[in-house]
Amino acid sequence: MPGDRPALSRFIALALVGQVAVGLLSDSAVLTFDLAWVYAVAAIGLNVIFGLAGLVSIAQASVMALGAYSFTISLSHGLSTMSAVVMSAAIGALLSMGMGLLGSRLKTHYFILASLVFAEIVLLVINNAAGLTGGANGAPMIGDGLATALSTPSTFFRVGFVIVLLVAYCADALRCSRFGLAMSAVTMSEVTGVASGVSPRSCHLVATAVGGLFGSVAGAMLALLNGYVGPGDFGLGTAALLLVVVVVGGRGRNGSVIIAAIALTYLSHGLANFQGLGQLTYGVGLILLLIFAPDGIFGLASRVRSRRFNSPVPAEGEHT
Amino acid sequence: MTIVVQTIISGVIAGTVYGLLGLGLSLCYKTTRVVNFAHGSIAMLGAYTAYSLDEHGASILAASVAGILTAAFASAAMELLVLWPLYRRSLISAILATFGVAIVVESIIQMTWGSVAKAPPALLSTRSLDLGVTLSENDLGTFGLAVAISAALIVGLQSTRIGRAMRGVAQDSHVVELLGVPSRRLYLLALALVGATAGVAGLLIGPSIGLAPDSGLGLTVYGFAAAVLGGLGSLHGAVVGGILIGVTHNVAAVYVTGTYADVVQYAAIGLVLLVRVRGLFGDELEAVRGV
Repeated sequence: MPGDRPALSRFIALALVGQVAVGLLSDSAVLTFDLAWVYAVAAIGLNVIFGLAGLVSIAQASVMALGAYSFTISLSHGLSTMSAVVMSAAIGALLSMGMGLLGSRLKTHYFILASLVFAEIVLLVINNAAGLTGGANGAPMIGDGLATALSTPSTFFRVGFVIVLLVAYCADALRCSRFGLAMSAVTMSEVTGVASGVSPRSCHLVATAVGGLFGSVAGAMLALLNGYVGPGDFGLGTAALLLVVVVVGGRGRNGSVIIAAIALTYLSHGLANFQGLGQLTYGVGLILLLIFAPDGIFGLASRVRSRRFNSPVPAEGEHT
Repeated sequence: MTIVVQTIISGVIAGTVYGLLGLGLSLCYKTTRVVNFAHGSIAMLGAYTAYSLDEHGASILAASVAGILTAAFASAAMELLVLWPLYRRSLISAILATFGVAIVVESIIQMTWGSVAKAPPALLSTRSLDLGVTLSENDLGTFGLAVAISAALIVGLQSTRIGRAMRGVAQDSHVVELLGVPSRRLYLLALALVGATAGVAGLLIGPSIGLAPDSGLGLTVYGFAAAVLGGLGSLHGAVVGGILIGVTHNVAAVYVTGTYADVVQYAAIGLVLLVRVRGLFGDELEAVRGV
């Protein structure tokens, strides 16, 4: 909740547990967790945009694509792994901020349309600029020694988990900071926020930049993990998965978003065997969640508890 | 010269169908405030149903009517089961839920008809008429039907009692309810109408783009481009926006670049969102409230 400072010690302890836990897991489980780390980082980024700034973006998968492709292309131009990550994070953050520029003028449905435009343009360019991106076939990720070392599933698990925790810590720290509180205020009521001297524009810009940064890091992680980038990994399905992760985890709650990412990655792996049926379950699950647990599964319990004390009449102007 | 005329004419014909899609989206937005991401997928569902019935020997008219009814039914079911419980929540929930509906409809299509694309037959003859430009009976029929249905809807909502009530509900559902209008039934009727227009659009556009489970969202985007350009919530704006989009898309494809012609749609939406959110015909009050 806003105001509670995240405890660094807890994050360090968890990171250490992760380093030991990898030895206890089977190879396939490690791989699933690896993928879950990727989606967790991207979903935490989306949670900054959605949970903190209140902007619904269906472009987070495309931001991941930007990160993955700029990472791979930087590597192929001879950059080291670290500088390629920095490069891709910068590109993702900047372009996502461009989307936020629209967000500073638009809200809710109009911003969703803007993010849809962004997503479609990114995918179109990736599919058509075959010389740069490999087009629909994708491109292999050829990196230096560090990249190769990071690509092994168990190393990726260790490093990836630390990155997930680091990103969650940063997102929590941002949420609890003065600026984060200002952002929440603007999200709840823009008029009140402006009256208190907070600029909605800077809120939206910072949120989309931070969300874009995390998203493109997630993309770079996916490129490392797969050793390949292709447009198929960043389509509507991934965008929907990330939104579902945030909805299930609950807006603004980063710990539960990580748990939701793990659970849903497992689930989608299992459901992938059923193709259409798996997708159907996904869609129905998303709708049911939105109707019955709008604060996510983890928010459901507290909602049931607090409902007893609240009047059942909906507040004035809730349907904004 | 013929190429220019040809490009523009084909653009106008495709554009009227985009306009019909946009009109459905605008009507949905106007009455419920919900940006309906399932619109294109519902259009696809209608087109698939008609295709199936046609394959099984039903007449093309009966198949078409069944397709339109299926789309109307699906859209009404969405209102009843998904949107209704969410009206009192934040708008974001309802919009995300239509996204969920799009996923559900897509997977139903995939499970029923498989993921291989289908090529439905054109409604009328595609033999070119001798008019100096390539124009078939089917092209003229598509244009005529799309324009006629759009015009009927616009006039109907403007002048009938139900149309007036629907516009009233859109402006202030509380006041209209106090005047004795059953807003509940009007929402349902509006969404059924929205679904029917989607079904017609799906039938008209199906033969030219083919049917694939995942092309629904693409149709939604075309519709949004039309609706946003015309001004979200303005019905005649959506029709004009659709025609503009169709023509610019075709002109760009012929004279600028074939591969990036789709970018024109997206650039058009982006530009409208940046420069003039209320679009060409959206009303000013709406823009202040919505943005």
